[in-house]
Amino acid sequence: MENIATALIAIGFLMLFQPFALSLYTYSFITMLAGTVMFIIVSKFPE
Amino acid sequence: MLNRTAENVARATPEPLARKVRGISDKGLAWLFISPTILLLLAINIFPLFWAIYLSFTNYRANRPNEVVKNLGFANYQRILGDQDIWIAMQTTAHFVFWTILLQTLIGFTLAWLIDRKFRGHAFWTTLILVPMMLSPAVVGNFWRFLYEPQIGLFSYVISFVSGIPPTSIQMLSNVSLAPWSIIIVDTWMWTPYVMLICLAGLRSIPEYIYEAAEVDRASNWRQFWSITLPMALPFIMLAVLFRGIENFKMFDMVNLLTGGGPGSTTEVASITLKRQAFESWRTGYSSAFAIILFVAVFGLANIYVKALNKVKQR
Repeated sequence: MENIATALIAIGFLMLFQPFALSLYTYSFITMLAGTVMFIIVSKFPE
Repeated sequence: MLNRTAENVARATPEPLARKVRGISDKGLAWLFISPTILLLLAINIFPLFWAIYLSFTNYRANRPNEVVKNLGFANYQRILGDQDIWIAMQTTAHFVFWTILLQTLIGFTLAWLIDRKFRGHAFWTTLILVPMMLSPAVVGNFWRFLYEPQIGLFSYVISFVSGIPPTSIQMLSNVSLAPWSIIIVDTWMWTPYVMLICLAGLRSIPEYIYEAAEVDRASNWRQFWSITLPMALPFIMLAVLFRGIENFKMFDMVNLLTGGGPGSTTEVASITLKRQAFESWRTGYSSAFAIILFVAVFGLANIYVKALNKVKQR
């Protein structure tokens, strides 16, 4: 789960700063936010 | 000696206060000591964050405090994430962050590696290299403006001397393609010493006996660098990249002093756009939403970066 959250943050981050498509930029924040919230929650789970 | 001091303190404590303190447990006493710090942290960090989150959903304008504040829902976020100008500002920020971090890490690590050779006078050179980092960004911005002057600037003169191009045609701050690089050069000049200092700490923490063992195994200098120096200094390099990355994402002072976001909007990084929206257009709610987007980006990236850093440290 933590890896999925990390991937979501990374993808969202790249979407936010990429110069290719405005639509990717539009959905970057929600992707990043979902990843960050997920990361905060799953990082509290015991390994 | 210590016991006597403690006894003196106990004796000097006024009786009403002593009676109050006597009933507090160790945990309570610990909370008593850290509560002022926690309160300060809540007041200057946590409260403004939550207040900005609240404002980001409204049409609040700081220059019209008596106007009725309307709840706009996610409208501010939708507007920002569909705005082409802000998208371009994000790309400018990314360009700026990428090149400054790359240059600062490469030059900073090389300098640290050279300083770690412990040649004659290395302490003097370390101090000299650290000077730019100690200067105020306002001072650095202003004197680099003079250095970049096409007529009288030393930078233009040196470039002209090396390349043969007349100094008047080297318009570092007003040329569209050169202006972003002028800021990258100044930021690299100022903050490379900081990266060098962190890398130097990493290099100095590598035990000497590892190199001695490598020498016994007849490992070449190149092999020692790739198999010992670089992997053991990597957590420190990553830490330096994290600190500089966070700092450069909110870079404002240098850009504002050198180009002010110009020419046109070529050097308009996200923080300059944010400042214009917040304090020139007075769109407080809108700029709060923009600030939250940037916060989530940096916070998310810092999270995964710290995770990677911990993995490297565990190796």
